[in-house]
Amino acid sequence: MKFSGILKTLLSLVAVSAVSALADAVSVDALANGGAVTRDNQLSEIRDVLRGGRGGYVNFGFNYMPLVSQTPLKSEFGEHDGFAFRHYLAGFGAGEISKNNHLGMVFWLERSGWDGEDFFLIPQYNDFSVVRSVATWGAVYTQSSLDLTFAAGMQHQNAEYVGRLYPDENDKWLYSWAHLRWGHTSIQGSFHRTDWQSLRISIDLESRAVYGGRRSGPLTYLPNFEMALYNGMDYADDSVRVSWEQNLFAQQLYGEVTFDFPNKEFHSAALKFYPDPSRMIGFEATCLRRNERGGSSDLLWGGAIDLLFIRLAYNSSYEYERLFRAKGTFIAEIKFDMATIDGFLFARGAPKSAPLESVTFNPKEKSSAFPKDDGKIQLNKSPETKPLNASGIRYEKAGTSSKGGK
Amino acid sequence: MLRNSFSAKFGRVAAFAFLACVALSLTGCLSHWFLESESRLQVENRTENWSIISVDVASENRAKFSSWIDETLLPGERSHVVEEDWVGDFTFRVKYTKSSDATGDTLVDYHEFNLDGGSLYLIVEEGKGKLSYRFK
Repeated sequence: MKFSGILKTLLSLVAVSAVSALADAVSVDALANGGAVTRDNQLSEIRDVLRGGRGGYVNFGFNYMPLVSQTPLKSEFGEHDGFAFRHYLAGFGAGEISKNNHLGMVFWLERSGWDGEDFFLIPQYNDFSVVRSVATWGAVYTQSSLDLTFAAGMQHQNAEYVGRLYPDENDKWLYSWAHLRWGHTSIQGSFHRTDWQSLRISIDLESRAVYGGRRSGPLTYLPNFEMALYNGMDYADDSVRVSWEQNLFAQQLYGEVTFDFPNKEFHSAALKFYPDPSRMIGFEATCLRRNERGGSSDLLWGGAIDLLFIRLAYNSSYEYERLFRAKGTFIAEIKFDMATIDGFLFARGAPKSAPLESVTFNPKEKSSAFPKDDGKIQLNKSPETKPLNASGIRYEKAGTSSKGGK
Repeated sequence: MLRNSFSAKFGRVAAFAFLACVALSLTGCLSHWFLESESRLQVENRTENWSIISVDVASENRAKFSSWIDETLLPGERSHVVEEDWVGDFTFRVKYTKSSDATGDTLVDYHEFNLDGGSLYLIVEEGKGKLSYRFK
């Protein structure tokens, strides 16, 4: 993308943000549940990244909403000006310790909540703020010839500051998780002390070239299913969410639909278009049911544009579910999201790597392998190269001093 | 070719750094040069004969209250300045009496305000048999 293009995108981003001053407020409930939502999202992302079980992954960024009116807080007292925020950092790296045996680490960190001021490090901590961080870490072992991955670790939820509107929340250090993947199937469990929290079973049948699958053909059109079971604990019934992701065209166009059980209700649907299957750039349209029971207003229609380092969304289900159900405003995200396997790059969840610049070298045609004269240093010696003649250099005999000095 | 790929990489890094700088300059502490995140409220009783007993923030169902100005203001008096974190749209509950010495029945008036933060000087006046409000 050209520099002027980025500048235009940024200016238009600020302009649309200014127009969207009448955004809907985020609720106290959504902020109070933020910790559980973040923990689940982090495990879901780890599931995506561990599909290969080796290589590396880096993801960091933050949501950017410049105006206080974009994500105000709705409390029983009224509407508070301020900012919902989400700063995150994630990394995975694995190395081959012996043939086909890979050992790695995952580390996911997110600091999110709501505050009266926007900030990067030090919040205002006012009476109505909530600032929370969630860290997930663990060790990963992959046996690549068996296509088997096992990972396990801990999750910590740190209630850094809880304002007067929210239920009491303590730091919770004893969440643990485990993940087992064999081929296209994975199972992931999350626990708190001895209680199970969630269980996620994924069957990713789609053939993905980044993990050694097909580049095209019918196998790339196989569906991906996910079933997530959540423990309602003492507050609610256990629930199940089933997702179906389907490649619709050349791994560039995907459909996604999610249902909730036992209510047998539609939860969300999305249509996503990636100009390149590496998913570094994407366009998506989403529809989400908000459980408002308000007829057609129950459905939230939205979309997003993902441009490698910037994501711009309006009412998109991804933002709604990760940023405390924020809606009715344009939400920007500055981000860096890159996964790698064997030196190839792709965004999280992508089936193919990005097309890299490559030079074809044909040893039979040596003369055409390198440009003949492009003004740069030629390492290969061709017959046309003139020899250097040092005719203008005078040599002088060194004096007797060279013999001395001892 | 080497130079091209280097300049392309440098261009990408420069573009990302530029975006990060713009975002940094618009977010965080700089916005506090022109945005207030706290309200410093002072109330003046400009009524002739009525006394203000307290000013609170009321919940929307008017069942919960959060005290803000907790001092009796006789006609012509001003309160101390009290700083709170209320910035946004809220309803005030003003308790008052129709007497100049704060005696008699306590009456209650509710009024919605949009508080932009910063120094707020609220003037309470008497008009058509009830309280009226304006910020100075």
